[in-house]
Amino acid sequence: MSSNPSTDPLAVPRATGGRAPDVFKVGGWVPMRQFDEDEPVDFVVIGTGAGGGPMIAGLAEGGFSVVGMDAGPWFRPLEEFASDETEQNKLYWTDERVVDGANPMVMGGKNSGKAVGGSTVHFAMVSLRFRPEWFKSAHHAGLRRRLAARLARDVGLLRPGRAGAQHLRPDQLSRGGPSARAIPTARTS
Amino acid sequence: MTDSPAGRYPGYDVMDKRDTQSWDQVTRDVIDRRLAVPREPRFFTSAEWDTLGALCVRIMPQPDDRPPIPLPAYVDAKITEHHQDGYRYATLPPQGEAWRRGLAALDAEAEEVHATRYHALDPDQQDALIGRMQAGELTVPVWGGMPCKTFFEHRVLADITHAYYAHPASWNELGFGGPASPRGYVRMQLDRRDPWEAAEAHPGEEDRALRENRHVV
Repeated sequence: MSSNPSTDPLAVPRATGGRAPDVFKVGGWVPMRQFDEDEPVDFVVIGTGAGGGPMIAGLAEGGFSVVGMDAGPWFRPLEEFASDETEQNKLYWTDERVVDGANPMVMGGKNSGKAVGGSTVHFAMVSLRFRPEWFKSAHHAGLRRRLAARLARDVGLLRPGRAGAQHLRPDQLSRGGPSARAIPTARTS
Repeated sequence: MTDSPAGRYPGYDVMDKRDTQSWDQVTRDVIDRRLAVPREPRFFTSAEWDTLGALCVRIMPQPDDRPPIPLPAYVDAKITEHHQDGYRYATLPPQGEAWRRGLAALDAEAEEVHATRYHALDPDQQDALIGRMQAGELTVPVWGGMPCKTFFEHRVLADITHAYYAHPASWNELGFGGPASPRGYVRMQLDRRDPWEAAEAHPGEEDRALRENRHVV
């Protein structure tokens, strides 16, 4: 954890000014596309973990303008991580969530993450065994192109690079989204 | 401790690694901060501090051949510094309130049975109350609807034992190597250990373990 409040990623956003930390180099940076707050973009993805991260990358690689949002800091693992269980609590989503019922779910710790990268930042030796049908997701869903392009077309967006905001309102999403159009999906869990 | 930890990993001290290649600067900073936890209560009142101190002694008895791990200070720090669990059972209030109420309830239980506060009981009486707390049998009104069994399992046991095993002195007892980065584990086979891991004293080989542990850094 940085002792300097102005560089503590828990206190102030670190990825600003068109650049983001290079997690593989001490003190390094990589370019990051950035948008003004009033600038229309094609997609906003909430969460940058195992689900949101690849989605953001796929959309960006597909040519869309995309903003990823995360509640947690953008750590520099080489400089800010100690391999100590208590210290690593800072990687987890430890905000209070009330659990109840006959078999209350234990949350927090190793099954969550609060950082850019989400739970993939700590890994925590959780290794899910792939199910056979996971390798057939594209087949079952009838996806022949990259997920990003198909998703964008199915929700009625236009081509990459054009502002999506004017074409897509939330009510249109719910009315014309993939489920409403009976697009087949593959079970993934 | 029935099984002397000092005897099991003789001569091993995880802190010997502090200034060697086994630890990097971020590791030193993290452990230094942990060892420097304020010993005075910041959240608890002095009355609560008495009760918590007595409870910690019974939950995690400590050997007298080393300074005790400051368990009440870690429980206080967890609350003061807002280190939350990520979830909370609906029957338990937030951690600070749960601790306040639970400690006050233990005092009230002690007053009811023995006409004195919890920390003034003798160890057997303290243990008996802990046993009844664990069994869900404590019912003075101070509990305020908080199940004493849930408080025991998810506040008392969790917070005190987690604090104990986050401290290097407990790692020495376990022969735990401490923070593995930046060195990392290399010898992963059964019955192998890396040079920075403690040597266990098997019966009849205590001297050898002691010799080897002098070089474990």
